[in-house]
Amino acid sequence: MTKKEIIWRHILIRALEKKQPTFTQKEIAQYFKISTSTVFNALKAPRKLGAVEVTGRFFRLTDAEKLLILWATMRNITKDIQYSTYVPGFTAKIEGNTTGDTIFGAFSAYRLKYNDAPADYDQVYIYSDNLEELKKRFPPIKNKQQTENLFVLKPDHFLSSFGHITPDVQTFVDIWNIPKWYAKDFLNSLKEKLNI
Amino acid sequence: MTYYNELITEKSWKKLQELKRKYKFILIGGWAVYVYTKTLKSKDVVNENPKYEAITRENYMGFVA
Repeated sequence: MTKKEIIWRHILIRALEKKQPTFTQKEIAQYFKISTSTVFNALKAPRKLGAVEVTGRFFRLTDAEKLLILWATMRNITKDIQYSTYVPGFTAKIEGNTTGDTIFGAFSAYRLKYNDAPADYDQVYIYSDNLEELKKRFPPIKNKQQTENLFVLKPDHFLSSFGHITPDVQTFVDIWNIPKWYAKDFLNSLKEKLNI
Repeated sequence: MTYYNELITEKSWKKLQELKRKYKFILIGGWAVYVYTKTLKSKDVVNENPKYEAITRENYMGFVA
């Protein structure tokens, strides 16, 4: 994930979950220990789209859905895949065998958070840096005929602050970028959960 | 770092409590070991019960009965 995306995630979570749509460049820069110019550049595209407005000294997220869709279209999930393999068995069993530091993403994140799934899914996306242990538990594919169903993504430094499940906005943009027929059902449900 | 993910073991433990309230069974497997040793938590619930089918239906979403 780029710094821009991390900033967008932060703004969306503040607005949608914490009901705080206003923010300053300075507070975001201080929070992430980055320059205000990096924050300013991250806000260029959302401002151009009308998703973020400048009001005096503050910025205000005026259209969360627009920013979320912008992020979803910019997200390059393939670039974040560190490891992928095929694991026999159903998805819940794969999820159960992951390491203690795993952060569940995409379909798994939805199911584990809401104890439900709008559709059956057959791929598991997780965030983890613990590749050595994961490769022991889920060895590389031997038979090239098999299609991968476990994808290990590189987490950014701030993702673990959300616990063992990605926040809904992250879940949304990740699923948006997964070309599976059942992704649409999850996205529709998430839109309802996010109230957008 | 715990061996299994805490989110999973917590759900599994809650499921075990729920099953315990509803059914009589003999607990075996990972959770049985945990009850005695208080070391490694489990990720699924394994039990022996004559009403196997009923528990299997109840014990859905990734748990093995």
